[in-house]
Amino acid sequence: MDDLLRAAAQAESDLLPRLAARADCRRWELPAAAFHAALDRSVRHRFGGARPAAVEVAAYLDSLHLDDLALACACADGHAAAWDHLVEAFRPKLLAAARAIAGPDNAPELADSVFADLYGLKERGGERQSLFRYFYGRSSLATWLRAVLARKHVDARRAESRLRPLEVAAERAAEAAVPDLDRPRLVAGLAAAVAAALEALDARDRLRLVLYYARQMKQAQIGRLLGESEATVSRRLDRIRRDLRRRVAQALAAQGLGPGDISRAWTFMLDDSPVDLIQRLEQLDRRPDASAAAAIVPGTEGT
Amino acid sequence: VTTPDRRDEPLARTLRDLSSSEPSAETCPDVSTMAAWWEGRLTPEERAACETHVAECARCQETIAAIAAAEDEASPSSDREAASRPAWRHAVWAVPAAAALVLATWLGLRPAGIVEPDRPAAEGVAMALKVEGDEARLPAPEVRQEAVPPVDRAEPPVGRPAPPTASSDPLAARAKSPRTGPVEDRSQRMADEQAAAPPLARGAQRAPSPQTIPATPQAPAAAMAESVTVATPLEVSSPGLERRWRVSLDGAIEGSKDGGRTWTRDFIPPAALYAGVSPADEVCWYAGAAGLVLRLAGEEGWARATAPTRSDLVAIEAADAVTATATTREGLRYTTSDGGRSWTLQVPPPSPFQP
Repeated sequence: MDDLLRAAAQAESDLLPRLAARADCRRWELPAAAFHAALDRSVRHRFGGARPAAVEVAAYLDSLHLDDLALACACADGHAAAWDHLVEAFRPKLLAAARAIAGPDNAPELADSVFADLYGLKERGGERQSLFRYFYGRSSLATWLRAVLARKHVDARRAESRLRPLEVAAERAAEAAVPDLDRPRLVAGLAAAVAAALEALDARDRLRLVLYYARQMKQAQIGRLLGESEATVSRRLDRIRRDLRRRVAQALAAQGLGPGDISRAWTFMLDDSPVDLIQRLEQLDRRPDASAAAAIVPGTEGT
Repeated sequence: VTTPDRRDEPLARTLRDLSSSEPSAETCPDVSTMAAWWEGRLTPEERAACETHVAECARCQETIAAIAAAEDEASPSSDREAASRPAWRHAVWAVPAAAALVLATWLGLRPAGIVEPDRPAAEGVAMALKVEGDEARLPAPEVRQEAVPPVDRAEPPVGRPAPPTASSDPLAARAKSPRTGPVEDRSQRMADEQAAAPPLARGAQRAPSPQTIPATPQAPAAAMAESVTVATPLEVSSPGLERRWRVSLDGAIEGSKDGGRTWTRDFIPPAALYAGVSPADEVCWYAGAAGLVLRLAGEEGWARATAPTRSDLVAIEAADAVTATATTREGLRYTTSDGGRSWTLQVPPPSPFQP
């Protein structure tokens, strides 16, 4: 038993029996040693090399999803009833999650590959290496399984995309083949200004922006992740957008671009992806601090 | 609120390009940490480290977006979503006349003639009553002050500890008392009840558990369900009494700036709320299921504090926007002095009766 867990158990004599009772270890005939080993792993994962007080370790252990942890331990040990329960309770959720992540065609394969990892088809030293060894009970098992699916899918997709450099290069070449000689210069200037403005954001603001715009997450989801209400996320996104516009306007002016050039640059950018950026700026124009928008897109005043 | 169809694709593209550098797998948070982050279970330091990393890492951004998408898909049946749903949603809804009467009594807690800005009162009732998933339309209820049927306890949410019970929470006894009369009557009743309850800070209130009311056999839909659960509003008043907050029938937090005459819907918290307190005019704390703590601190708006524990929090006291103490159903007390970023378990003093 790890020192931290032992110290916590010594400070609170009924800690381990209480945790085992909450985890319902008897349901899966889970030996105390296996359960304690899982608690050990969880404590080491949480605290690393730190030396927290025993009471802090005990509070952490109390906060775990102990029933899920016991189930994961039992499955890792190959307990048949635990596996039956896992398949019955979690497979439909896993399939639904896989459908959402990878689409209906790829979902069964993705879900099955995760189940194979959970079972541990790979062996090391004659022992199955179940993925459940990396479940520490800090989240629910359902959320952890979704995270496993998500990461597996993302890694596979990213590996696949690295195998197609020629297609990407061809796309880029096609994008570059534009008749207007000014276009590359103007778009590059605008893109550089936007990129610089984004780089200047602090990590939290940038995360809000990137999750919303680039990763298409909902404001409520972002709020949950960052510990904010949906309304707060919305307000802050608006504020960041206004800051960005102001910074971009200043940067473009510093490049010596006149209103006409700036307007053309935005038009070129919109041609590449015809969405409602101008509408967005028009909306912002109606706000009290909208002067920067007019500087970016001349001709939108009063619209 | 910005809608998805108004997104700026050039901005998105630039953001994607900025995050496209190849990450090192060693530096990415592991799956367990990502899952705990998604459930709001990281320490402030861990969360800050995650945010800094993910702001730069396309792999982790895609992972967290996929987790979000997966949960959306699974939400109707997921454990987590079920656990975080307000307890009253676990009941089967019906439309018996008795339920309408009880709801009417509940609505009677609001000052007469007050209608939520964005929802007529009758529609509010209809939203709260569901028959096998379908909404029932009822006429505007008559406010009555009697004939509250006997109440039983509702079943606790599946997979979660039960909300406070009468045996464990002295204030839960309020759940058995008729919920009638205008705000003034209710304030008096609360004052009486608090005399028998553990001390709470000014403005604090603990939420009674949902009540299950047997359906009347005469009701047309009575055969479809045996009971109706009615949630009671967890209303918190600021010391000045003008600023108020409450939990609506569908679990959303609503705020009032005019002493409860009009209410503005704010957001739906991720779990059921059991207690609230307002130590100052623009400060409010709520605590609830699975260690949930929410804090409103003036201009900062609402934010979710780090969960001090996974247990249900059934009481909360607060001195100001940074100092608060939350109590679990088991009686464990956690104190924060940094606005909920970190919590300390209060070790009770040894009993004077022990040798």
